[in-house]
Amino acid sequence: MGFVALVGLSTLALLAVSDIFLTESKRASVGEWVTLWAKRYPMFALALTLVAGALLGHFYWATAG
Amino acid sequence: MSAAVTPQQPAAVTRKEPKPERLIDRILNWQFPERARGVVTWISVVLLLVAFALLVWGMVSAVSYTLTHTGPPCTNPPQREASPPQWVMVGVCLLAFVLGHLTARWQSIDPKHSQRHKNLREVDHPETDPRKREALIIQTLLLVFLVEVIGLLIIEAVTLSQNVWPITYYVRCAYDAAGVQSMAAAASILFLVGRWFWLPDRGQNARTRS
Repeated sequence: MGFVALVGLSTLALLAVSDIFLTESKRASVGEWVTLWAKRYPMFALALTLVAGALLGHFYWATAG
Repeated sequence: MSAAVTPQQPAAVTRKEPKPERLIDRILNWQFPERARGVVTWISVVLLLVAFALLVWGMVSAVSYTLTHTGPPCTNPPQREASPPQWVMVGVCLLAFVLGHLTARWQSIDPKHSQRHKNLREVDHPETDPRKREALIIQTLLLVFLVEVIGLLIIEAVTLSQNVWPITYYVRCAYDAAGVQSMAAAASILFLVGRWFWLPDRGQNARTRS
């Protein structure tokens, strides 16, 4: 459980730190970078969204058991 | 005493009145007061620090428990209902999601950076794009995300094939053993997701049709 929590949350924590830096220095936020990237590579963004959605649905919305 | 009819009148009669703005458009186009953006920026920083602290707290708690105990902190299999109830968890997470979006939308951005950001949208040739460094960072984070996805899928496949707890059970176990702490961590994640993956104000960032 510790490993799963470490892997799952550490990237988010690092991104939160970068977001703090961007917000404090009044730069364009992470969301704007993500939006730009998704507009530039829409199919890749769609594929990643499907993968992420399937994973989240699998991990957090399993009804069996 | 009737008024004289002029040739301009028919055209004036046929001219259409401008349509009243729809409520949804008024909401979407509402401009946040500029004076308050600085306050929202600091609120964003404080909430981001809180979210970071909650994530670190969750990681430290999970790792320290794993290192000091041999069995799981919950029943086997973990219960699906615990305290706080699931609807409370979902409600708090939704609030955090909306809060994340609103803070990201209303925080102030230095005009110098926003102008640079808008100008760079027009760059068509990657070789001349001065955002190489930022692009490298984003691609690195993307690579980390994909590697993590591969790792989680391998773990899930191996555990399912060997009749060991799948990742879903670890999530349920965290909720069962430490409901409030799990809710705080989940709300932190949703706050960050709301900041990053909810499209920003279309009036500022959407492409125009022209």
